Amino acid sequence: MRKLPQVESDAPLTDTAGVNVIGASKAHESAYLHVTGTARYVDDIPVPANCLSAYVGGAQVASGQITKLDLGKVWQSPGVVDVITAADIPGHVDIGPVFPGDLALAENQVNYVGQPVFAVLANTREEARQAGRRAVIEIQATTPILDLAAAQSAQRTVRPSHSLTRGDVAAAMVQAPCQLDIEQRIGGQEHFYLEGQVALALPQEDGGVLVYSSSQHPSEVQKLVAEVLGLPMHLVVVDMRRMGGGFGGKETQAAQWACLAALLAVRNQRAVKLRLGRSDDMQLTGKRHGFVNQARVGFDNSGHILAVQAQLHGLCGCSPDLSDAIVDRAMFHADNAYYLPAAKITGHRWFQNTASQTAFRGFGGPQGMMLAEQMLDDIARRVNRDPLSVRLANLYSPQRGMKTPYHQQVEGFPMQRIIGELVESSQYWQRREAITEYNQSQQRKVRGLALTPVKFGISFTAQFLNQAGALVHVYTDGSIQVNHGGTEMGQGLHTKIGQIAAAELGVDLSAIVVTASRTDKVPNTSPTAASSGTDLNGQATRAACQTIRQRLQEFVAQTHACVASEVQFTAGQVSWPSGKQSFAELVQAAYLARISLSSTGYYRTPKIYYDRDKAAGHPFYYYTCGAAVSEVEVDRLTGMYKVLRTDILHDAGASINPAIDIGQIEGAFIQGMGWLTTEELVWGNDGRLQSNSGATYKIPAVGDTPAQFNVALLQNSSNHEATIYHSKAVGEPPFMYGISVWSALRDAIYQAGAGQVNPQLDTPATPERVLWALQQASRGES
Amino acid sequence: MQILLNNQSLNITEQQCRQPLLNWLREQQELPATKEGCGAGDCGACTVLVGRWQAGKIHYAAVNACIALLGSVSQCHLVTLDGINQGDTLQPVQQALVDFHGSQCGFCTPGIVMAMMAWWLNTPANPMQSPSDLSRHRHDIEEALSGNLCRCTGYHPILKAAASLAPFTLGGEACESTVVGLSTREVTTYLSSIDEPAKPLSYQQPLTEQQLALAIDAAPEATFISGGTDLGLEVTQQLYTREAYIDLSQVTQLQQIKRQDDVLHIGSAVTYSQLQDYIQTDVAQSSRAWQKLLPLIGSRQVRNKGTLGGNIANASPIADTPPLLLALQAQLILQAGTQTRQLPIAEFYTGYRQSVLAPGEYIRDILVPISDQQVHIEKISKRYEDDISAACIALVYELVDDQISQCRIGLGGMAATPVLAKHLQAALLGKVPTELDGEQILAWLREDVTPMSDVRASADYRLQVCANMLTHWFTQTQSNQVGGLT
Repeated sequence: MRKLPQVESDAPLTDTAGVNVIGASKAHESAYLHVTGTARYVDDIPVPANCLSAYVGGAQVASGQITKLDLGKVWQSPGVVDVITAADIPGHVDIGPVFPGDLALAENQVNYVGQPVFAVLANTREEARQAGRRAVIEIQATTPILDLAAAQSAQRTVRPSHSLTRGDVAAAMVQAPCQLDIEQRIGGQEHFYLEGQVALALPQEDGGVLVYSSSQHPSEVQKLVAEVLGLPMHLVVVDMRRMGGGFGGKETQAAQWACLAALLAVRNQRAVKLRLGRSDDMQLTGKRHGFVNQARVGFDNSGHILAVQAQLHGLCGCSPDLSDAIVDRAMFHADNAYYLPAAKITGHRWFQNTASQTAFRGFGGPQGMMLAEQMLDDIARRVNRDPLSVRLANLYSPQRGMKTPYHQQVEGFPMQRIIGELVESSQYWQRREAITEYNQSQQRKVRGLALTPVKFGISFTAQFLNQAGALVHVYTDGSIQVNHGGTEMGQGLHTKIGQIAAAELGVDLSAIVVTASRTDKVPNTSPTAASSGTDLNGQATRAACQTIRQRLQEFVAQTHACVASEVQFTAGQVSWPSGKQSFAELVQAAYLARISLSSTGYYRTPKIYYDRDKAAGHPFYYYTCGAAVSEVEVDRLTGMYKVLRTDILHDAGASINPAIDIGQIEGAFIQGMGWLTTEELVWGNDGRLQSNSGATYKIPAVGDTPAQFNVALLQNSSNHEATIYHSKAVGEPPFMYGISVWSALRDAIYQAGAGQVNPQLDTPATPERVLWALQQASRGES
Repeated sequence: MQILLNNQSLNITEQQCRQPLLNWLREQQELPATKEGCGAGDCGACTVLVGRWQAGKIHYAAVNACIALLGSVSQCHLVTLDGINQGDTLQPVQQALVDFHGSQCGFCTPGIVMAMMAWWLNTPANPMQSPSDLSRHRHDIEEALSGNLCRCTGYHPILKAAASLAPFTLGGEACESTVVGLSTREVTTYLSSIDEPAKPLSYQQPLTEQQLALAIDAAPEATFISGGTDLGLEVTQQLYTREAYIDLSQVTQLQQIKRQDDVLHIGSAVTYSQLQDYIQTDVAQSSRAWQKLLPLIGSRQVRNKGTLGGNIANASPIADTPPLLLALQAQLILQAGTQTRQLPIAEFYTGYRQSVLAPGEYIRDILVPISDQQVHIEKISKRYEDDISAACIALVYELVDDQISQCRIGLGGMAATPVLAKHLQAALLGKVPTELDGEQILAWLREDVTPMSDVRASADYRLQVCANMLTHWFTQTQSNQVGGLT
């Protein structure tokens, strides 16, 4: 660059960025691209003319040994170019993310219906899909394990059990004036990201490969592609601009498709795309774990919990995948917001002949929290108090206790304030009265109301994942490119990162571009998961920007004889006591003076540790808290229902972008509601997923959004820990506000039975389950 | 065949006619704005607008591109999101979605924009006078977006964005087509230039009954397709494309609805949306039942394409209209060559997905009595929008001296075909409704049907909800309460 670009001395500002950009409700950085259809997803990337399509094929058997694999008809199918099996994989066949057990292609044993046994490459996607159905695969079938009882009797687990213990539970239980037993069955959940699993692989000149993968974890895809191909990692680049939704479903399970596409691409030296159709995506990829929770709880006559003994049974599918950490997180959240004076919580990881269940927003937390919330409702009905009063009486508090079953001291816990404000704004008690009155009139519909809190631990429970990197480039026209280790799946991470960079360098938001996540820009990244995207990558970006800012400050201090700390960056201007210039002018001067305008940034979360042998530590940097109130109306004749109103008050700390945070809360609530109501996974006795399309698996539609939906952020809040601008993570916690709908349904059913029967309501609480519970209640059966 | 795609006139080859519209757009036209979310008409990410002449103007209807065969939308003005984008300025619909933070991952957004465009273009200015009031037209917006799934936002910002829109106004030369940069005259000129259909044998789309007769002669083995909202799934899910189709949906004579005395004559190619529009202000008991049922059929996209004739001829046990048609004693006019025959719908079904239709025979008209007897309908499903019924129950009855003198009960999802509960009907005659007992109704019902347990519901649930609804309808206070709405 011999001649520098022309720059203005007064940079035009499109907003007040660089002054008040933190805390501003900026639109999603891709909003314009979204609404014009110009946002590019992996399947939209223009491909080379010689691009081929890959697809997978497997057997329609849930469990057994492959006795014969005849691919002759696959090879003969029109347009077929290549067919591979596990034997054609030059490197690792096992692509398990933490523990072994996930195979790129099955070798001898099949463990779930449709498990890919081969991959086929053809000229068109239609031809590849057709060919994928033509193999002759003979299997010596064995009886599949498809529920908890079968797994227990076969003693098949994917990982060992683990327990958290605090206090003398046995003694406290015996001494408790009241006890009750709980058993709840909680269904899993299909991610139903609108963009299905997809990868595009382009062979490179050096034997390596460039992979576009719709993945929350590009670094892991890079590592696994390298291992499958037998290549060093530096020959594999993974690029991820945006996903059409992830929700955890693309944390580990995007890798298989990327590995297969990459292998076929390198083998044939052609570009290869592999995109699953919706029903295959649903059949072949893991989901939220179903759980069976069992507990005995001891409490006093006014409903204070004294002891809890719980068994959480996670149904993990056919391999460990992330199940160890997922069941751990369920155990860490079985207390939710309530102090348990004595507790023993054990988590089990059971094998099932299904695709391996995986991460999904909340990562086990919701399933653990369901136990706590059923416990509180059941206790309230036993002691004949309103559930809200019993919830308030059991919250963590300095009087009652602040130590969790895993021995972490709860700090910065504004729950009393949150519930107090929400009870007020939602008029909980007035509506409670109105509902009781309405229900006494014995109309066709019966109504229910519930308030449920959420306390969700923030951090990966695997300590080493709590690190992040960023790479910031300032160009000589003053424009800035930010790269970081997180991925954009709609959650607005890149928008917040852009705001952080704009604030740190005092420039207009339009000066920042946040690029695709690429393993050759920021290496060795963690998955974008555990709600940690902004916490980790925001700090890393901030660190990179500060390094550059500091260099510029020192340069100004030298050239203008002032102290570095007196140099201010604001609104696209850089000022010092004796003068000022535009950011772009300063950048050019610095460039000519040979100052580096690029920097990496790095961050690791402080304070966190967990000793698994002792089941004690400080696994969470802090907690995100909030509460929701939902009112439902249930049809006594059909069990169909509607959510009439939901109020949510959520603590996002000092929010970086309130509009994006509210978007996360609203969307997560609806997703959580769907999990517990209409989203029903049904496997047949043969292990085939019967709910394998949008026609049979019903996520919430537009009419399911409550007619009154009031979502607010807790005002004047600030994270007591030194997170990025004292904000709080927001991705997962609001998912669990959906529990308020389930709890309100139980309340309605309880009231339909005139308060005589505490209803059992397993989830999803489909109209059918609700109708049976209503019948039970009206007959007075418990 | 020809098509006007946004502002470009294109020829469609015979081979392309049987291909899903979405694949043609994304792969051959290289227009990736329209997304594939499910490939089965369940999510709406592929929503496009199909413009045709209707009631003196070009009417744009939202449809799912993934399950529409390209041949079915030839000879129309097809508008994709690419056509909506006019320079750097966003359309009001797009701007509202940006302003209200209506996109997160953005993958469903193109479909949302198109569905909302269709609503905005077709909504008279009047009901939108108070744009900030969400509750005021919430119902309309929900219907318009009933076929668009969003997994990120929870829909709240999308609802608010739609409600904020100022009315679409027609001024001067402007019309709906101007939003895609074409004048009415240009679109009209194009559409009128192609009123003579091309006739590729693999996908014939006749415009008159005369042409239809010739089409059948030319390809006697061809499969009839009407809206294709179910048949399209064969192509995208089973990967099975028929050798030849004859598309009934554009045959003028099959698109008529008229009322003669107390009977509606509904052409078999009338879409659910058209019937919904026709019947929306009628106050007869049976019309109110239709008003309740029609919005629960599929989504807006499906209702814009699916036809009443297709719903019947497809002979699915979970079809939505047959229970009500059975209870109302609808008659079908069937046409084969020059032969016409008429039979009650109760005699139409012969088995699971089978009917009396002979090869080359099609449903011409559906004759539906307009009734002021007691008419009730209830569709039971997990979700209100765009769901398939676990059970659908229709009841029509009359009292003489407080006793049931006539009674017909149509059931969907309860047997291999839609059925009348004949045993139960007979048992109810002469009974005093308010003295009926739910357990007794359930016992009678069990003698009529033995439903299946499947992914949607158990057999027991199906039976129980039917019995509950019937008991409720019979025993509730007799009044003008309608359509089981209470």
